Amino acid sequence: MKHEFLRAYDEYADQLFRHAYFRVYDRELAMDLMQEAFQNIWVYLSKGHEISKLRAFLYKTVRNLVITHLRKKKQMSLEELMEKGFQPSVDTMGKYRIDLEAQRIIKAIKKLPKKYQEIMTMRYMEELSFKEIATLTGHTENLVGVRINRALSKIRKILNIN
Amino acid sequence: MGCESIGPFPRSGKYSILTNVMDKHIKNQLKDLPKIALTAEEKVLMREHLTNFMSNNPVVNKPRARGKFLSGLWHVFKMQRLAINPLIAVVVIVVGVGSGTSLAAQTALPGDVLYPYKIHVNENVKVLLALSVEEEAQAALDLAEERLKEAAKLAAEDKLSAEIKLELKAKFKQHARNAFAKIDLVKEDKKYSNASDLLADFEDRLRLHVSTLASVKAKSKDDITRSEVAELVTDLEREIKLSSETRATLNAQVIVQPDVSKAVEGKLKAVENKLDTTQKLFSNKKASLGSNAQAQVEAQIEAAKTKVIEGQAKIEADAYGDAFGIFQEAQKEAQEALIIIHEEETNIGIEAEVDLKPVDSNWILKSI
Repeated sequence: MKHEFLRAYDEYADQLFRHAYFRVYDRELAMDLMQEAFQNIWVYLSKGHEISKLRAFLYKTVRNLVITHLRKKKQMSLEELMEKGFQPSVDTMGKYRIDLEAQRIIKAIKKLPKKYQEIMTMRYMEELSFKEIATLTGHTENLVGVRINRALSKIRKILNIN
Repeated sequence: MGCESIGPFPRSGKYSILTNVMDKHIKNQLKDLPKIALTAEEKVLMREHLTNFMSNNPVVNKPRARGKFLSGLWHVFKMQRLAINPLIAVVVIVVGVGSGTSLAAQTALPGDVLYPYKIHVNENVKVLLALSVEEEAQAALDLAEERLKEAAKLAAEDKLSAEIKLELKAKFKQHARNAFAKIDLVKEDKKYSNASDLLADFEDRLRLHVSTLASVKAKSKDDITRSEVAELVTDLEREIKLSSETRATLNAQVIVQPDVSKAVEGKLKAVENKLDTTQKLFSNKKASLGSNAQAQVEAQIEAAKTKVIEGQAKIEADAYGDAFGIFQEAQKEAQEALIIIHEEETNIGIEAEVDLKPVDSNWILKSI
């Protein structure tokens, strides 16, 4: 079981790190949350419980840890930072350089309802396929496609207004 | 990111060139974002930490084999640390002394001698008696709910340890997943309305249990009980949310079916039955409710009735999609009335339940 679990780490660590990162925008924190997720799940498995879909379980655990963390500590979202007058020309994602146009789009994404933010993040920032998104969210691929269309339509409207 | 297609959803003829250009621009900007990834060193270091953690937290219980009756029984015995001779318990269960045992086992809780009989005999019979996929789904939902009732009863007596809670939660999830698998089959049969109703029923039951558990938590003076119950409530709220999202997708499919009018008429009938049950229950229980609760329940029932009239008007106008949504809201209003009655009764009666063991505290659900 140990080998299988470590294989899962090798396979999913990058994706889960990205999944956490695009919710907390803090590299160290994302790594901590991801590590905690793997440890918590190991403890759960070591007590004799079974998990039929480990990947989905991992994603959900990471997501729950992110939510718990954000509740404990008020986190400034990129949008909030900008509203408070922070206008970065570079480096809005940790140490990464991001141009102004991309910042506008990210800001627009953050104005979307949660379900659209989630799906845009998974598709274009985490680079998950439709099938993967459908599996993780429990929706059909068709609905995933519909939501992406709607999200793009809303983003177009927000960008046009701005 | 590869293909620029937006997936299986077909582009409509209404898409303008400008829209396409903008969409492409948005996707390219996002595609060009810096790639976020762990460095090789970070990944190796974290793997080492994880390996050390796993060595310090070795496997305690190997996962038990599925579908093996006796191994399941022994697992329950081990978990509950029964004081009695397990051999006697096994003999009693295997021989099975007919309807008397079955009846006595009905109210057994984790730790009771007849609990294995309840979950492995009584409940298997229930599943076997289901005649359709919908009934199989209902049976699975009943079993999932039974685990919650057991958790609430134990919590009311401050006997809900972390271990028992985890076990009940795992069983609840197993039954719930079985139910969802059956509901998927109903969906594949294009019976979207039936599938939606099953999920609505599931959510309604969970909401009642969230309410019961909240009362138990408020009453308990034991920190462990309060903590375990709080976690359980969070889990249930998550399940309600997931189910609700799935149901929204199903409802979207209901209203585009060719026979949508039939589905909407069926929904109206379901809402009218629910209202009828709610009103009957309210008349029976009114005298035992406080004046505030009475007023709240009356307001909810009135709101549900208003929605039904609104929905009927939409049917007259052939606006079936709208009617379906309004009937859903009416169902929710009626369910809220039931929750208020249940909360009031639970707050009044919970000490009585503890004194008058064994008591089935779920009369309200049986009467629905």
